Amino acid sequence: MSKLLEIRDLKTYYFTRDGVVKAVDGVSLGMEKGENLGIAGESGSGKSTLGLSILRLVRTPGRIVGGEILFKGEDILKKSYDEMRRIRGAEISIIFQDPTSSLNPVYTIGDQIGEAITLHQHKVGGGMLNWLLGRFNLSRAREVNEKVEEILRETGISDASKRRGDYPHQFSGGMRQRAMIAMALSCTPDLLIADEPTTNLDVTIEAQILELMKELQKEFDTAFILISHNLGTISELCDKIAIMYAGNLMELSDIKTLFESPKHPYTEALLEAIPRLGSRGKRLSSIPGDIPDLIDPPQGCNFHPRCKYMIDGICNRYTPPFIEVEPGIKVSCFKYIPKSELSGLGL
Amino acid sequence: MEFPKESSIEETTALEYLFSRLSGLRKLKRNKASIVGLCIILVFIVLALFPNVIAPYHPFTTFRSRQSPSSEHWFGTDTLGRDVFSNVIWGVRTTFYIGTACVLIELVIGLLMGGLAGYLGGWIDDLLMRITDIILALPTLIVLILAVSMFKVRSINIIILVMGLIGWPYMARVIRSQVLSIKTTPYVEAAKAMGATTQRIIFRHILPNIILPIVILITIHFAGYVLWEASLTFLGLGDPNSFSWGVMIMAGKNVLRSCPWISTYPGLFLFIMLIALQILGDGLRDIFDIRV
Repeated sequence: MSKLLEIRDLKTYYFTRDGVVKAVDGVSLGMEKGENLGIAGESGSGKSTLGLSILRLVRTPGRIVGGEILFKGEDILKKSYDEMRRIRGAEISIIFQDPTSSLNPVYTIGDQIGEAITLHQHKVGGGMLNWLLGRFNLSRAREVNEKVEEILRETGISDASKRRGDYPHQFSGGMRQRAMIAMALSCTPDLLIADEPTTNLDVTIEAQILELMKELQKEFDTAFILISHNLGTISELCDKIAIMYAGNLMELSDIKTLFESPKHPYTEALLEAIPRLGSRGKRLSSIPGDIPDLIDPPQGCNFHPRCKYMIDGICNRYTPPFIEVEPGIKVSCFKYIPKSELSGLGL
Repeated sequence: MEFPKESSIEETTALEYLFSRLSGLRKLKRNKASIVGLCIILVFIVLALFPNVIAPYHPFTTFRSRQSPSSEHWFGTDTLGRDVFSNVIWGVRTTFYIGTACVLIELVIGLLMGGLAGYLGGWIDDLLMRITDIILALPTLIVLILAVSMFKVRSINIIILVMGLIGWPYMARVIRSQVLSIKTTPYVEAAKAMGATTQRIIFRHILPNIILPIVILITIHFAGYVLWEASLTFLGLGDPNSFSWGVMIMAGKNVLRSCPWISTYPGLFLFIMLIALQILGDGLRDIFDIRV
């Protein structure tokens, strides 16, 4: 069986006035059905762009310039606009980070969740006539309403039949994010991408939402990509984690191994930078230097200017390959390639 | 997950469903001023529908000219001896017709030009907006005079068409800017991510969010068109067979000092109508725009 999602050498660039920003520069990833993966990285590392690329929602001046995204064995990048539209929401869904503005203020919560259901399960086009006829199709309206209430109840909104008629401004932030999750899951997609779903919520609500997502993921058996800058959030929810830096994947590993023995120098530095309780008095370490300018990235490995293991003549000249160093753990660093093999890689 | 069997969804009939959709009308009740506005507009609609029943005389019936208001002629008579009250009542229909038709033309063109420019962007935006700028740069009255005088026939429909074709740039600009700002909001993005079609995004997600400025512009422009028609008439380019209030106001202008009632009463009615429209526009905004 082919993998659910297979990304091969994906390149998404933003063509700005100042030059080409290489937001995602050659990312390869694979995901099985029902798997969950966290993508972590600093802001500006291209993790959101990666998420949007999977749905082909990158906004101009951004463009996917190369690579393949195989979803259930078919290349998403070769699909027509209409085929793509059918996949969005039904097979791949996304939850955006800002629940406050991701809901249309002029429609009720129920209307908006129902929209996805009518679009995909009743194959309704966007035409005005269709829409008008749909308004008077009572059996369908009832069916959709029932579905909406069911999904709202599952996402933990009490009194769903009443709250269904509420407008977004009548919902609190946490409830709006619940509604967004309900919307994303309404058509039971095979893959759900959550782009920093809890960034704007306070910690108690965040914990609730994470708990809810964990439950729902198990229940719906949805493969799940969680994009976050917070390693804690990811470790809470995911089994596997990918570390992204300046448009490249640095390390792909399972959560436990990553925290216990990080392979990539960047991951190592990142873990040291997490503030810990009980380590008072010690200086919080940070990574020296800045994230590189993605218009003009450094030659060789993107991380080499900040890396303490930098091998002169190699790291600043060649791009390290993304290779498996242990079963299930991939790293892109020359540190893990024996000197004798360097020549074998054509270097 | 198991759910209780008794579903809380009440059995709705088609009629109930329809009423629930119209529930916005109930919101209007809360806004006292807009109820007044609605009533005035309703009265005007009745006047527009049945002027022959309400007006005491036919508008062409002549009496002694320049009579001041009396119990016989409530608003007096004009320079040609016609009853001003009857004329004002017959004028409701024409005024409504001019305003509504022009606004409709403006709305159609404005939505098309502004909507396309804003939504598609790129060179289409540039092209459509330059066309809009060109129309906007034209001296309105002069173009109106030229365009109307090109036609041999003095018909109210031609005047309306010309006015509508000149008046749309503001609407197009407002709609474009609104579409531009709404199309990048996260909820439009979210709708796209849910697989909504372009049509659906435009009609369901963008249009309802820009209705507020459109309604405001409509109420302002409605008045503007009525006044434009009046100016054209003043310059002798009006439709001699129509009884618009503009025609009446202009007709009384020269004798404003000796017989002020000829201009004042149609003007007063125009004023009332525009105020009522404005108030009603506010009320409509409250219905459509739930954020307020």
